[in-house]
Amino acid sequence: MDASVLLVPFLCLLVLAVPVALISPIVVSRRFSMLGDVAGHMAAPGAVASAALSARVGVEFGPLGAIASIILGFMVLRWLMLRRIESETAQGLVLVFFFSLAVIGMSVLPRLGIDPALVRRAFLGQFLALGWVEFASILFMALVLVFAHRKLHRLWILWAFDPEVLRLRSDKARLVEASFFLVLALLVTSLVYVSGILLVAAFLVIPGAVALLAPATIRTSFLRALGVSVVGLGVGGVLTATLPRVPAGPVMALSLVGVLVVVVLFRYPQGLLWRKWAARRFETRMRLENALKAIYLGLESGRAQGSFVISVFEFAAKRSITPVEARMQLDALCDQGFAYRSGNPAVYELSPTGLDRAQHVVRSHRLWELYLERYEGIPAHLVHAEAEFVEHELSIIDLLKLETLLGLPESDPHGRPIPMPGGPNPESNKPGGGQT
Amino acid sequence: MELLLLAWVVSLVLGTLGRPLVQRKLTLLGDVLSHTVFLGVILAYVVSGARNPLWELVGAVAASFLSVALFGWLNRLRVFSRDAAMAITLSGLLGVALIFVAQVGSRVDLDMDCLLFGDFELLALERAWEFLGVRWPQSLIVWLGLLIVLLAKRILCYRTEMHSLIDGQDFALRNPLVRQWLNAFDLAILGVALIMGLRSVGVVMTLGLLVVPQVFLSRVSGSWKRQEVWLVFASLFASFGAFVVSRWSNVPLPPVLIVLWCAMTVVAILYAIKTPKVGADRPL
Repeated sequence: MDASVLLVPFLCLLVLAVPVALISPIVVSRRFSMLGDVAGHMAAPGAVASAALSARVGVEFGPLGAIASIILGFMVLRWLMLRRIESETAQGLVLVFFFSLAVIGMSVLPRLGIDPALVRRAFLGQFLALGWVEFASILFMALVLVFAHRKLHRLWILWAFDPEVLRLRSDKARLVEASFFLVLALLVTSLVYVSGILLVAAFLVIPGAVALLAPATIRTSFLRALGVSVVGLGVGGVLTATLPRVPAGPVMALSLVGVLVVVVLFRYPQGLLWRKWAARRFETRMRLENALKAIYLGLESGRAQGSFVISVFEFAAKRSITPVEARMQLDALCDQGFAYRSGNPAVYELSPTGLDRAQHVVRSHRLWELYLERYEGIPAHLVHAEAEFVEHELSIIDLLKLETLLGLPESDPHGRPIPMPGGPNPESNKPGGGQT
Repeated sequence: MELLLLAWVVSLVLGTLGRPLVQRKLTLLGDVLSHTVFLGVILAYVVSGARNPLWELVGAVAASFLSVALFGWLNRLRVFSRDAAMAITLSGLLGVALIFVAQVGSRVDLDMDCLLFGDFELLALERAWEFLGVRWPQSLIVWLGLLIVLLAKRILCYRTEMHSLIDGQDFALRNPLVRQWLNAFDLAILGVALIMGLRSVGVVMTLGLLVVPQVFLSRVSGSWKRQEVWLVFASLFASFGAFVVSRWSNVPLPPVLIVLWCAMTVVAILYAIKTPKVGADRPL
């Protein structure tokens, strides 16, 4: 495709990205995400009336009809919400009412000598047909919106998060609300030019939804939303220009959805894949630590014979698993350097690192049990289950703090000794116990 | 005559199906579903290579389930608000559907206008049977079938459904399986009704007939039983009015029907003495 043909549409996209980034976080925060779709449909009767009037009077009304129609729609919406119709239901009601008017209007257009296909095409977006006139309209709208945002963004944000507080603090709450709906009408009309009625919601919601995925200041959320808009609309624009027979609106909407999916999956550290990876790592660590703890407790109770040595069958009996599973777990400990195989292939021995880790886990468990009993008032027979989870979470510093808080205790609520870091091994606790 | 009957039955079926959506504050999910069934319809065209009503139904029901699953998954992530999840579901699935339409629409006999605005007037011209002096077109028979299914459900599990709608989370916790079956049944019927609605009255009018009667009914009576009686007579009144106006002014019937329902709703809002409490005849 000729590059000069694409210049104006891409300029339009670039200009549109700014107001979208400014307004989208407010729309999402106010829980008006579907309002984009509703407003897009509200533009339809205005577009039809504008076409009819232009044909009758001979003066081009352009987007004025759509803007007026959206503003009227917002007024009806507010009226319904004031009459205690639930927000979503009111939006649905306004949407269908205005679109029904548009369909009736379109059935009348042929009688006025106007081809309804012209209006219908506008419904589906005409990105590649955007010319300098449309660019000028979009630029004007963007400037108005940026100016209004500079003056009013704090009040808009307050309105988005807590309209009641705004009503209490300012006597101009209705004006603030009206100004927001006015600029929203301008933005939706511009978006309808580019993407069509059906997909306005994507443009109005996705940049804001991505920007608000993590805590942010107003400036940061704006910059994030701007980044998402530019990338999403840019990729969509390039795909529309290069791929044959693909409509602009859906491609751009899908590009934005693609950006959202990438962010939701890969955002560090809250992305789904990161979380899954962290959960798997935690699970593996928990399994290893539980195995180490089982060996340590075996030694402590004196059931295992010899210092830090355990056979596959003893380990299986201790953990209530099959010998095959026991061997796999012990092999995993060896791979991590927590244990090594002794001369007998069925017997494993804890390494010094393994002993340290096992002592840490057991110490965490017993200190936490003591803490729950003393400070939370939980009976001794109920503290074990809670400590089973927390023992894998506590760091050495946490343990030192806990120990200081508890006054360097020597035993847990069940009377078992709390191992000291680098202290004597369990065998030494028993009469005649061996050294490492 | 058959057009009037069709308008009445469509209003009754969609008006009944709209209750769970409006009660659970999921009105705009109706909007999402009525748009995303496009994906099922176009994929049915791609698979069957022609307009096949059975494939259309299967596609529409599958697309409804897909939309609800995607919306539910986005909700469960707890990173988006419910309305944002709806908007993302709508954008994603409708975007894919429209790209499919652009790619394969020219190869199959797909009339976008039919899906957007419905084919109400033409339904009366399709193959029909004569019975009791009335022509019974195929679509009317399917709509009547849906109405009978809904009536059977109304008779068999009225109390369960009422508990499910009013108690919400409590009911789901106590009877998870019943709730799931009710939801799956509702969704399947909704999928079938949506595809029939797309053919009859178009996307947006389908949403209109799901939502607007519910708002009207919630304003005229707090008792669900009375609301059902109101629905029967108000649907008849609106259908007759729309039929007369559309014949007189030569405009399509579905949008006139919606505008009439909206007008009745505004009157109900203005003249309702007080907002009635929903579920006043709760069976406890």
